[in-house]
Amino acid sequence: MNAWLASHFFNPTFVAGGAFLIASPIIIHLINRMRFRRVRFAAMEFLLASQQRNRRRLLLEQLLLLLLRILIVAAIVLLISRLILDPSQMSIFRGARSHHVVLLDDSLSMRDRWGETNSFAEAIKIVNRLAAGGAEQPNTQKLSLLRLSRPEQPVLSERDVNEDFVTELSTKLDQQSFPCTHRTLDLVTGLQAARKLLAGERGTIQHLHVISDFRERDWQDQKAISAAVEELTSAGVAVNLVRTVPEQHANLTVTQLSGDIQVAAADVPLRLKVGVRNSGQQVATDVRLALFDNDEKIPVTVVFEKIDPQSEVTHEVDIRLSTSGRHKLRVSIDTDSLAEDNARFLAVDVPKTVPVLIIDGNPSGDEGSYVADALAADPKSTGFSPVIENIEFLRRRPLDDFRAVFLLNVSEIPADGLDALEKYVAAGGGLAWFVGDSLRPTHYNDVLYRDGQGLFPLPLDAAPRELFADPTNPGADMRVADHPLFRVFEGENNASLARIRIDKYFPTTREWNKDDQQRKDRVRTIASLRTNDPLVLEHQYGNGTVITFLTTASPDWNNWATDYSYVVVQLELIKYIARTDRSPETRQVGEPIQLSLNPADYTDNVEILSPGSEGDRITRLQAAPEQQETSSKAPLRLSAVYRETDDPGIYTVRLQGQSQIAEDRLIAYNVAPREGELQLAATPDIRKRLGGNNKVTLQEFGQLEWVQGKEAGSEIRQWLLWTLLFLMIAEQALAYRLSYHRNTAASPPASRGRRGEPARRTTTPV
Amino acid sequence: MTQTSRRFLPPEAIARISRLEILARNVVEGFLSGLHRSPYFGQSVEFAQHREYAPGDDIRRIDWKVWSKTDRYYIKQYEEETNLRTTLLVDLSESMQFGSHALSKYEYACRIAASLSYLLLRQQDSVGMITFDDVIRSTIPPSSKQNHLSSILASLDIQKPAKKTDLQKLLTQVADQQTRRGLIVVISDLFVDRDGLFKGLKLLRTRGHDVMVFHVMDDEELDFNYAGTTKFEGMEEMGDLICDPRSLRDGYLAAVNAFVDDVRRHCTRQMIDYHTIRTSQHLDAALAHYLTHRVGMHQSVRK
Repeated sequence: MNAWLASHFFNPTFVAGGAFLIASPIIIHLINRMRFRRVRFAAMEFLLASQQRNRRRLLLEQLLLLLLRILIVAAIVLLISRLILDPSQMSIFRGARSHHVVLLDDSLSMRDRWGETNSFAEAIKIVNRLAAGGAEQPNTQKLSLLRLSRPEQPVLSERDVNEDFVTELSTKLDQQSFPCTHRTLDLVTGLQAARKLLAGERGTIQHLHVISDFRERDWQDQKAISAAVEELTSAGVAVNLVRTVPEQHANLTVTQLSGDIQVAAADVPLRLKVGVRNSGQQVATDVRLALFDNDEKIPVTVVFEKIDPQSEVTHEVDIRLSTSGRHKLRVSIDTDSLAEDNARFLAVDVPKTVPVLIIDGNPSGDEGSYVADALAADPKSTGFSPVIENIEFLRRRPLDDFRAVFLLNVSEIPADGLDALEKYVAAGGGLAWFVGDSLRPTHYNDVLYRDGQGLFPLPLDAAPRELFADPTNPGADMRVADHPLFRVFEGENNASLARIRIDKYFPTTREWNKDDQQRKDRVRTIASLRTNDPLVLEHQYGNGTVITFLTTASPDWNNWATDYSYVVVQLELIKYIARTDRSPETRQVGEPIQLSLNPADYTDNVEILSPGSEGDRITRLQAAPEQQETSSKAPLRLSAVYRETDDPGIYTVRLQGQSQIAEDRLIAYNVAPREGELQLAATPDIRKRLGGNNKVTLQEFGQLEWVQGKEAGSEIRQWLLWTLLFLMIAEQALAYRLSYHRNTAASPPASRGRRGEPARRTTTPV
Repeated sequence: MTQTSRRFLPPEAIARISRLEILARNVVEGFLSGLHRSPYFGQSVEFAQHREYAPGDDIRRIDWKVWSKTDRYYIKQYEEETNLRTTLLVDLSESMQFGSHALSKYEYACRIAASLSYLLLRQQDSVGMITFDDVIRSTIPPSSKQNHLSSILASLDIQKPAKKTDLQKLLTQVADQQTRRGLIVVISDLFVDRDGLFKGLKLLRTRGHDVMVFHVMDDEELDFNYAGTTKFEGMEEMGDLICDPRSLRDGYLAAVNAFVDDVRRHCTRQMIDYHTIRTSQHLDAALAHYLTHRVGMHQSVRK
């Protein structure tokens, strides 16, 4: 009963008193019945007759009047005790003991700034208000605070809400010590964590307040969200979605800063690709991008005259990094409402030259020079330094420093050389095969192909095959797929494809299925002959990429090497296959830096230089031996993990070599561009996406009444007021009608004598 | 005057009514003042007729002159000039005790009776009085002696109204007792069985009496201006009623007016002088109104 009262009345304590008040008209009536006047009366006959005649009417009228008065008192009581028909409108702090779980979104988009405030500050304000509201009924409410960035680790867990807690909370939620992250966070994991937190609890009313900006992109995985919400509501949790942003603000996001940094070399033009997205609703004009190299502005400015709403533009720009070494590149635009996505970072480790190994299997040794010339006709303009060696080089020298290895017309590879090569490719190195006369198909099939497990992509037929001119098929000999390698043949340059003539090639065995779709293995045909025989194939081996040409690199079997497109394709090929693991990584903020060090090379001292507004901060870590099974014979490694990678920028991992030489590794951390899409999910859409779940309430920005429940029941209050007015008028009208009114205007009854008049008459003698 | 007479005959009332004269209708012929012609034959100065002697007649009235001429005994009859023989019937029932003003209905009735007695005795008419409730309580035989007033007043004074009224029985008794026709004045609130009342009045009229009814009513009985929850304790064993009197007022007034109208209609039909008197009215005004009304009725009702 008490719970029912508490859930339907704002002031439930008044209801009991009010119930007595409702009895007051009856009590007054009874008292009046007891406090009567006694009159001895003679003309009872007429009085009883009147009473007999009017009894039923009087009873009805009196009862009606009594009912009206009771209703008036009841209406007043309901008004004072604040009846609320829909208990969900009730202030969240009314009623029995409740547990409030606040799920605070601290993703990057919560940094959306307007005026003097931002979305996250508003969110914190709401949390403080919530606590203050709960403290009005001290120690009846519990509050837990979850961050979306770390939902498994509650900031506050089941704390009793009282005045001390409110003070503590406002101190704790200071923006400096409790910052918003730069990360992209998933609402579903937060909801599931909240569900887990509330799961074991019994006997309390559970509220989940999701305080977020509710962007449109958050709801892309709406099924998972609505399932998580459904799970919560079906478990009896009242889900309250609280929005912290009033409207969508204009925002530009730098979405891209990339380039072929794996082949960057000192003083050689490096092509960078920059992209900007306008996620606002207005056209952005005159957007200027500034490029910085180690915080020094590069005298190159990219200007976008106009960016349409909800669209992205990209631009490629060449820069020249004059010195070798590590370069921290940054591109930025002017600050807008979300400043954090206005810059993007790229770390580049620039060598003097890019070493490429060319193994030439041709005894005459001129094939390698075609490739070498293509890659570095002028080493200063491309930055490559090709090294032409014979097959023995694979056995004798380490391959790790080479960005890519070309194997041209190699007859066979010795076992140890193959082992080194396989390790190299598996670790990420690039490999390009070119066949030729020297090649021994049986070795290739047995050792290199190894039924699809080796470095070679396909089994070869016994001998090369000539491609005769086919007068019925006048098209180009080579047909290329849409692949970065053949970018040169796109568009107008497509005509140059027709000039390439393939005279001879190595066919595959008949058993090998030429259709990629049907074969469904790792190999992809990226160029084929007009006979549909494959010509160029790509496949992955470990982390490395292998491109196989089933014709020669030299013009022995074709005329390609004499065409300019050959150079372009070779340059694209080297970019495509060049190992990227030696270049600095680009990651999203929040990903931890995990190090696994060989104690033979490095000491256990690790320094992390993280970017900050006041210069780099140095964090020293102690790498610890990895836990591993005792039976494992793998060599011991040192590991270290650094998780504070929330700020975007370029982190430097400084490793101390055993030879006391420090080695720096750069990692660029960027924010996720999609966080810059500030389009808000409309409230009706959210409702629709949640499947019309009516246990979920949605609070618009600035609506804080739900904390106090002040507006709850306003419509019933209006209705009650009008009812009360009507009842009062009706009561007055009825009471007037039923009450006695002396009709002063009317003449007295005729039987009443008028003094004096008859006396005057009687003075006349009769 | 004695205290009793002051109670029922206040000097100011006497002063007012002393100027009035009571005029009986032509039916009653008094002999004392000469104003009233009597329907009876008796000793008088004015010859009326001869009647043959019958044994038992007073031999002193034999007209010997006629005997000498006709040799038959004739008796000489004269017109008798009578007093107005008035009988006052005063209701002493419990309901007459009611009074919202200084005077109860009983006291007011007594005053009416006293005033009329005084008036009639002053003009040498004889007045008798019967007080009653369910039975006759006292009877004062008619007399025209001047000191008769004191006995009437004394009789009124000792009465204590306590019982119910049975007017039909009373009127029947009175009709039987009053062999001589005269004026019968009923002073009552008439809270009796209505049929019995009408029968009794009709009987009196049938016996040749001139009947006047003074219907004494209190203001509250006629206007019913009570307010607030009231317990009405009925007189004459009528039971109790707790009610809000204002709610019953309209119905009550309708019932009272119907009652008064009914009585008035019946009295008019029976040629009975009927008058409703409020106890708040001045006594002289009531009497004057009555007398004026009475004088206006010239029609003889001689039988």
